[in-house]
Amino acid sequence: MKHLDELTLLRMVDGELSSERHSSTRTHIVDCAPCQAGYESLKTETELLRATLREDEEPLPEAFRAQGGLFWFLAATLVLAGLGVSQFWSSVVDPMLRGMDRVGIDGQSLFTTVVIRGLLFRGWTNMVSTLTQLALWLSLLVALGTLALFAWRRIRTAALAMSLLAVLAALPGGAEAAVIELDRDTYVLPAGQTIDNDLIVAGEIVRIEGTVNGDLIVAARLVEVSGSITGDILGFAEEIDVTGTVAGNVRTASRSLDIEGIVEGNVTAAGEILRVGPGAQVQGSFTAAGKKTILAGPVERDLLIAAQTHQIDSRVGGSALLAGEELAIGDGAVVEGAIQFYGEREPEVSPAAKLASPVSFEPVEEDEEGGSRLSWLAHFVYFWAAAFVLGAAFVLIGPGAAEAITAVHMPQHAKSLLVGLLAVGAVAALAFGLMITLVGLPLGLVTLFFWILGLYVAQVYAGLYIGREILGRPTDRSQLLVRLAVGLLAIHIGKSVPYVGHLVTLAVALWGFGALTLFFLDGLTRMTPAAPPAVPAPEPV
Amino acid sequence: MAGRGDLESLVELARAGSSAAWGRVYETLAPSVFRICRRVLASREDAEDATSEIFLRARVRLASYESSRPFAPWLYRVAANHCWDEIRKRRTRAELDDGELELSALEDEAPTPQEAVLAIESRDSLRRVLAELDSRSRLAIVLRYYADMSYEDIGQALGISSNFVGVLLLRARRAMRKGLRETP
Repeated sequence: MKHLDELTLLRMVDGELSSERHSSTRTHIVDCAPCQAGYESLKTETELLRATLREDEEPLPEAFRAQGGLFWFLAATLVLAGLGVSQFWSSVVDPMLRGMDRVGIDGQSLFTTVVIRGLLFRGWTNMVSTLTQLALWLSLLVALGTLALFAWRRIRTAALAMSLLAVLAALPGGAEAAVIELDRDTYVLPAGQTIDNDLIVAGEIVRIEGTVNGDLIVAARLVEVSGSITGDILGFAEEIDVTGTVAGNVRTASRSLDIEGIVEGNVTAAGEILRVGPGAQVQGSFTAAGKKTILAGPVERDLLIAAQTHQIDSRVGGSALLAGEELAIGDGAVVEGAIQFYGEREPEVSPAAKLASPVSFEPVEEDEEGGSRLSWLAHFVYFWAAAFVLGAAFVLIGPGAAEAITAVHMPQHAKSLLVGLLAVGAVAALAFGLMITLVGLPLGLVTLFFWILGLYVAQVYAGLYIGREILGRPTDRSQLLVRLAVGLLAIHIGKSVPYVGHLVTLAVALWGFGALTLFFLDGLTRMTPAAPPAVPAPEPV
Repeated sequence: MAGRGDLESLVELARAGSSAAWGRVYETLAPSVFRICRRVLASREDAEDATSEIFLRARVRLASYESSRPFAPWLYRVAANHCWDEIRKRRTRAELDDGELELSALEDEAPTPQEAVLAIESRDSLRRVLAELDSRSRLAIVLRYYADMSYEDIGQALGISSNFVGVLLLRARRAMRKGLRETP
């Protein structure tokens, strides 16, 4: 028998023989011991070659390695940010959350209520005016993105940018932008005096007896407004009493809010006891989250209230969507629109009340002591489903964006997290800065809205990414949605773990927000036609 | 790092203009491309430069990549072409003569190798004999056994027939065995 030549054996080992020759060679090798030995030793040799070539005898250049050099910078930033966040948390967020918790609301439910219900039930007309401001917001984002792009390239620039932002945040506008009164025990704007500007004031007790021709932004223990405000009131306090006239809106977070005056715009309030007194007149709508709401004075437009107990004893010009435990409609009530009540107990309606239609009551299961499993589950499923619906909308409207964010940006965990930290801080500072300076409150609030929306949407992409990690890359639309659902489920389970849940929420928000920001930045470079195709610069060390 | 399907979707995004996506492709594949270059080019600096140039070339030519096929082999072909160009630019006269002449088949058609093939203890000595090979043989070995390219693709990159790739590989192996026997 003629033996096979070595070249044939090599081609056999390398899988380079045609199929007929492959099978004839195989047959020969099986029968012929010397050829089999030759084949085996070539195979061993090949394995040895492969192993040797795969082995690194010298380290890879810095530029090709994973971003290890960033570690210390990242660690330092996270520590600093952690200190800042904990400070912010303990002094601002925690008291607020505890306050809200007392009245039976957590931040997520408030947001979901406002966004989902707001969008679905009534927000559309408002959205139109919001859209006109969207253009402004986008240009802001572009400016911010450019800044962050440079910042990423050069850490020194980042430091500069951050200190610049810090300075901007610390000096909210010059004297011309607003009148600022801080750290006063008691601030009184006496009757007869007028401030022809926005007024920002913080103190123990704040009394406005005169006139503010602009917005009033106030943080205090007790706020009394008996004068006249031509703009909005934005207030944070233990107690806020409005007996004067407000030409704009009233937005407050306070333990109690008592309106006895005239509000020409809308009222949006969160607190324990929220009351519209008999002498009051609210010409807009009333949106509130609290423990107890009492309407003894007229509200000309819609009600949207989540509270334990509701009491309506006055005229309501629009419809009412109410959620809570109890509802009492008194003799003096005149409600022009429909009343929908999601509650634990049957509403008590006085026979003397004048209602356009009977109260549509939908019973909600009572929250047992210690929290019933069922309600927890319902709660969980509700938020998961809400996130999924919103996420599906985003993902199906922009599948390309979803792909880019989850395949390109989210896997860069450290970078996304860091950029997220910068962007979340920067946009918040920007929103806050806008609210009290240059352009004014509306744009600031819109910015803030999109900021919150961004934080909420962040979890959508984080969820999609996690789903992809678990189930692999989706190949069609239904697979995409399955991954979204699975990933969001994982995130919501993580969020519901006690204590760790907050950390999960924070990490997901920062990480997702960072990836979104990076995506927009990447979009920017795409729009620059002259940019040469470049190998990315080595990561800064 | 990115898995098999992920890499192709990143390339898709890069083709649509995303620099970040291309950056991730780079992060994923630059180490292997660098290793190929490092094994066949003279110095570390040359290999680093070549890696950058390969990615530049690849990005410019991205339009010619068929997205239904895996991306890494395509990129390795670009790398192979580039390395071969570099080698030819730098090759000495002697090496050129040596390389072009031997297109003949193997002189030794003896049956299977009875000598113990490359049976060695340390991979260092194998690396040494690998380094002693002429540039073209070394490139062929690296492309076949590191980049897992087919004879066909290697042949295209080196401008020779796929049959001759086998000859080149076998001859390289024999040279290495010889080198090991002489100075173990």
